[in-house]
Amino acid sequence: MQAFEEGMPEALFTPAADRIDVSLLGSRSYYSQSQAFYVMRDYFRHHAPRSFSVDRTAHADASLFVMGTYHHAQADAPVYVMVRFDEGSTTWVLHEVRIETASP
Amino acid sequence: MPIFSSRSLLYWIVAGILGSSAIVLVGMQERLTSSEVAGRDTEQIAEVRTAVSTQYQALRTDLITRAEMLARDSTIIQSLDALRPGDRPRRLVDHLAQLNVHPRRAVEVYAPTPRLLGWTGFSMPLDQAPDQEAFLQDTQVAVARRGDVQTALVAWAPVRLDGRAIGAVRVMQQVYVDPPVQNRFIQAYRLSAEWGAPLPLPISITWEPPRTLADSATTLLLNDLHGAPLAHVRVVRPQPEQLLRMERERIGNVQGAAVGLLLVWLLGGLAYRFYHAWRRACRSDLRSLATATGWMFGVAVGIVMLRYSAIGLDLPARWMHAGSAAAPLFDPAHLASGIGRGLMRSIGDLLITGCLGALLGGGLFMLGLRYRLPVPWRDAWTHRYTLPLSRRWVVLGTTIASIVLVTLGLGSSLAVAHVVEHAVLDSTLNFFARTGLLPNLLVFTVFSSLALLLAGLFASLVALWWIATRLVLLAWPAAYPPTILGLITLGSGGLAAVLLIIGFHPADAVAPTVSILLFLGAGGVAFVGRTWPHNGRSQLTIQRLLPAAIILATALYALLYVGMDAQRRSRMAEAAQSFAEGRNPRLLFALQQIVEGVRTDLDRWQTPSITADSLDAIATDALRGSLLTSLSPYESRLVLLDSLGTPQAQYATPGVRPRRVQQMPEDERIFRRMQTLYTLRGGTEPVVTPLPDDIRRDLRSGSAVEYVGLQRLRGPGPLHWAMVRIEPRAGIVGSGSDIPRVFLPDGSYSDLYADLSLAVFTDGILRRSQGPDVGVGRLPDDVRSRTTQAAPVWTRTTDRGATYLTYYARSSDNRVVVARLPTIMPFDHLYYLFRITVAVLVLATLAYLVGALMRYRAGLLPAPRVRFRDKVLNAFLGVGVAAALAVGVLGVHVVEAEGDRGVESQLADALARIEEALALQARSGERIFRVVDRTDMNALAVRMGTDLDVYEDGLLTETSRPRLVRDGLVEPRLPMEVYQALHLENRRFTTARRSIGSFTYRVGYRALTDAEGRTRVVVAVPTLSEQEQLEEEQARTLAYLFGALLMLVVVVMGTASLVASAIAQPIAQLREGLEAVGEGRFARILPVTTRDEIGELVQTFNEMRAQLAQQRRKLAQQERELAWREMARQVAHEIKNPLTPMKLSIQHLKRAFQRRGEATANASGSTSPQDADDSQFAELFTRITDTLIDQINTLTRIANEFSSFARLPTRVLEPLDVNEVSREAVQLMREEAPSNAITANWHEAPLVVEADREELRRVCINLLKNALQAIPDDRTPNIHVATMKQAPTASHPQGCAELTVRDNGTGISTDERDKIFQPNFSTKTSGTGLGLAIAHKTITELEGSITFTTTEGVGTTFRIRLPLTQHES
Repeated sequence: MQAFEEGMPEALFTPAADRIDVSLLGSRSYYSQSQAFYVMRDYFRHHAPRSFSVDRTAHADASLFVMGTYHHAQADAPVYVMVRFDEGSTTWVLHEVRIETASP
Repeated sequence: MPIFSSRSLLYWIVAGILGSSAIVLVGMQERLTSSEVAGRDTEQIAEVRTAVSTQYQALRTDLITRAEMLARDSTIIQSLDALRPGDRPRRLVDHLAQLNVHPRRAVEVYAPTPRLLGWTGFSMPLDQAPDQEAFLQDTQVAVARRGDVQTALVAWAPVRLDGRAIGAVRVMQQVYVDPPVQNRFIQAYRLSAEWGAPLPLPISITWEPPRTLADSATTLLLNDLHGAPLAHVRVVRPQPEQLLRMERERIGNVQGAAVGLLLVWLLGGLAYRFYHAWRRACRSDLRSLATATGWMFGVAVGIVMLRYSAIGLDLPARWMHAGSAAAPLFDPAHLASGIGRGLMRSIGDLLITGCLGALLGGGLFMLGLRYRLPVPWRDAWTHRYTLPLSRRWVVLGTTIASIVLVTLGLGSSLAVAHVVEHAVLDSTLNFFARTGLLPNLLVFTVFSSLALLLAGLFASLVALWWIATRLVLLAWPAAYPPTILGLITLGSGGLAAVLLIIGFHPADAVAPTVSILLFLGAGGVAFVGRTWPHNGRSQLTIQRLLPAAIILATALYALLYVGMDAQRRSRMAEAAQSFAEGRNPRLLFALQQIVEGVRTDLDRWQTPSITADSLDAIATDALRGSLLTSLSPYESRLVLLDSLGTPQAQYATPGVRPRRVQQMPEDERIFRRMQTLYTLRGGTEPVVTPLPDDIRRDLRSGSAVEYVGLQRLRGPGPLHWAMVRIEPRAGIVGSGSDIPRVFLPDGSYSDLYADLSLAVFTDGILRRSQGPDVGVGRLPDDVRSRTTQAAPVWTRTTDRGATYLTYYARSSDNRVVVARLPTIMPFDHLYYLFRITVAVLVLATLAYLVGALMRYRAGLLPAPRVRFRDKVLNAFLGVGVAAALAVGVLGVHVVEAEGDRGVESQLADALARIEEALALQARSGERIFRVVDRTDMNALAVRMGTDLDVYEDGLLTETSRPRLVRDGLVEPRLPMEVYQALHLENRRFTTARRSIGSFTYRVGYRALTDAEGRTRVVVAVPTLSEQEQLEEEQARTLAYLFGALLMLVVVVMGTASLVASAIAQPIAQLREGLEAVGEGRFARILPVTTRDEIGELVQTFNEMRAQLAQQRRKLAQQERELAWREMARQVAHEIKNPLTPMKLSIQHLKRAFQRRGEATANASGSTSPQDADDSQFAELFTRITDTLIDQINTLTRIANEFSSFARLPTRVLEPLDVNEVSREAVQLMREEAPSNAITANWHEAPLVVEADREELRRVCINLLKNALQAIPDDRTPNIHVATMKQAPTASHPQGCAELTVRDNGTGISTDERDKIFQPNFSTKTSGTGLGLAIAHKTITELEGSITFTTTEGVGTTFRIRLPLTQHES
């Protein structure tokens, strides 16, 4: 939550898997952890946060899903965020970030 | 530079201004409040509105102008005027086919109906303009849409002839493209992003009139020509805090520029001071060296500060807006790594780091040049410098410094290797794609950046070697022998190397090995470079830079390969794990597309009263229109459910055509499970996942893994859910999905590795596989035993001659997952190396130009002397590189042309088979094109195993991939040039290049004609699915070609070096030989080592040397003789002068005494004792005077002979017979010799030679006299004279006359033989020693020879040879 509220990817990537699936407004790619961090950093730089709210969290098998709504400075309409964490040895590990414009 | 000079004052003034500006800007930033920026949003909104309006007006005007210009085109007018119903005018088609339009523009020409007559570019459905009254009356502007996928702004212009409208032209400009997938091939496009990039506020453009005008200030209407809104632009009004942030950011941009300039300025000052200190530094002056070192340290700190300040201030990325040309360089989506806390967080940052690293390396190299030993090594060792410090501290300090330097060097090498490895691991770029001669710009930039870094590192290492060596020699104690130093160096180096290598896994030892080799290589260069003149400028030549570039590229490739290998292994493991879990990304993606497509179709067409037939049609069409169905080995099953989750309809593809099927018992249960998951995930995106394990276990045993997708429907009808399940048709071996790479996300393993094989073995038996055949049906026993451990197993296996890297991992107790990928072939390595070498060569070219400038400024260019070896080397290199380039360019064309021909051939074959299949279904006399109407083309496509499209009158009527058409990825009409070829030129077959985004593929078209030969139907086969394989094959051929070219260049370089040395070395030897000859040293003979012209030249030189030596000896002998003659002349002259008066005086005295004696005897008439004494005296007197006169005569004769030896020859040459002359001499000597002492034998014919008669006779007489004198008294003299003719020789083509004088004298002793012809040598006490010298001189001057053979105690034979004249012969 802190990551999206303040535009700080560091909070999101602690910890993160070696390879992360990132989909930003339809453009999807698999990145290394290091690269994914900078991709998200760049996204926040160009889409500075205005507000973020967590709509729902849910567990499915060994995954934790966090869905939210993100308002940023580049547009009036919000974007929708889905972040997936998989269960690690001691904590949840980031595996996937999706940011889409589709409304529910 | 003095501190307070005018120049330094200016420097500090500028620095002060920049610093003050930065501080002021920081203050401004901090003090900026919301109240100060209030109102600026209104200004910015107005600015944005104006800018967008201007852009829109310009675009609209451009479209209208273009449309009206085409509407006035005479070809179009005439074509429309000549239009017949149902026809497409050929001239119009030809004209449009030749039009060159931008990829985002399209042109169409319509008949008034409106009926589309001709086109070029993309297609769009008709907009509302034809429905307007003004259609064909005035120019119109409208918006055309293809669903939510594409939008275009269009301009219509009526075509008029004599005042009546005969047609219309439509010009379209794409303004919005939203593809279903985005990757490196396919990108979304929004005109709003293009216009909004440079604007201060973000905008969004909706290409339809606004429903309401909520905020007119932030809404701008884009109108048509009549003022009706076509679209509206929303300017995002910034919130106050955002406004403040934006304003602060704007100030920050300026501040960043000020700080950046300040840092660059300060660094420039430091560099300037270093440069001056460096120029003043002397290699033997430690104080100046220390000063230069200090400034270099300052420069290094400055560079580091500059770099990290730029990172902290986000420079220069903060100045890049999204649309700028350099923006992709700073996009982390291509490359971003956290190494160095931002040093390579984008390609642009990596480039900046590389440039600064090269700069630092260059500075250290310059410093190191000054640290080179000022004297040769041995002298440096014996004359080491001392410092006025305690030796113990000096030793300690310099030793520590040296160790630190060496450690720093090794550590830097390893760090750079780590950077290079992560440039691959933290990037989505495909560095090792085989897609042409040169890498793309981004990859090229990365290669160049890494090469700069590596070059800077190498230069630094060389400098470190020089500095460390100097420091050690500075203070190594004199008492310690150098051997210890050598042992310590070798020992520590070896230990470090061993630790580094064994500390890494063998597979990871490449990077440290390369690092160590770089370090040691730098040491070698440092050793060689210790004597470079001109501070190494002379090394920046082609002969040095070209091999250096290739070596640098090789080192870089080795390090890149480490990263690539790690990446491959990581992705193989990831793919294996995904496959084991059932996560096939291609299938998951395809399934996602199916459920989304089903939702789109049903949302659009479903109504509350929808009939079953309609539903069937919609559902089967949606199922068939997917990317997956009909061509894949997977069976799809669609289940439609109501709001309660009760299945209402089921459709499947058990065969080739989807149809309604019965419900399966597990449908509802699966739905419940998926519904839960859907809800958990937010309910916005379809849920696509492998079938949950617990459900699969409950199903029929041995079932293959299934995939399930679920999506909620939004339409008003009774159906609320769509669920799709897919499973492989064959239970054991799956042949892999045929989803082309163009539709897959970047970076996924299936995107990168088309030839990746995946398989799951249960209890050692193959159960499931994907991709190319994995090669075995059972796991090898040794692998099974090794995979019992937790760690995965990596092996290299060989299958049918190909080598594979294979990964085995245990995914459960009895399951082993396998991933296999072909290893890289040797020629692939060469191809990759070639691409890297090209990037490094560009840098080498820059270095060469810089070096040329430096040499020019130093007066070394133009070079006063160019070595012949360098000329030969340059010529070879030029020819070799030109040949490689020519072959490369030609080879690319040939390979591509052959590839195209091969593809065309394949397409032609495929279309021929399709036509044959259609022909088999034709009735008697029925044309094939009519069969198409009643043929299930989808089934035909499945049977043929290929995609298939059908066109009628240029428009797509059937396709095996309708989804692609619906998503706007494939055009629903023939390209104009294809229409022209098949319909107008009546060709039967043609091909064309099509593209989806930037992904290009080929399509083959076959015309099916009617009885008149006119094309009625066109069948097309695209290579969409096969394109990967085609490109792979072509790329492999190119890889082999360029690998061979790289080897050719290396071989040419090596051969050039050898040949140049082989040519230059003998020339150098010749030069040395000539120098030796010039210095009078004739002893050295050059070895003849070759059998060519060079060898002949050397041999000729040796002969010349021998002749010169002989000539020199002759000259010396002549000079000696000349000296003797001169001396003899002088002596003779001096002696003869007093001899004559002496003789005369004595004769006079004798006569006077005789006269006196006679007078006395006559006067006394008697003899007395006094008379007896007088008589004795008279007798004595007479005897003495006689003796004196004899001796005077002898002296006179000797003097005369000296004169005759000394005088210049005044011979008179004439042809004379040797027989005659020698006969005369014999007759003369017979008078002096005992009788019969001399015998003779004359040649029967005259022996005519060119000589002086008197001289020759004297020579003969001299020989005869010597012969007589050589015979002892107790021997009967026997002297034989003979003449004969000698046969012609090469030196005497006429032959020679030979005169021999043989005696039976005492012979000549061994130690006298060498002196026999010397002027002052004689064996006789009374001899002058000149006779034989005169004879030798005479005969030699007559070009003859005089030799002798002798036997002591037996006798001697003298032999004279004189060349016969032409006269004789």
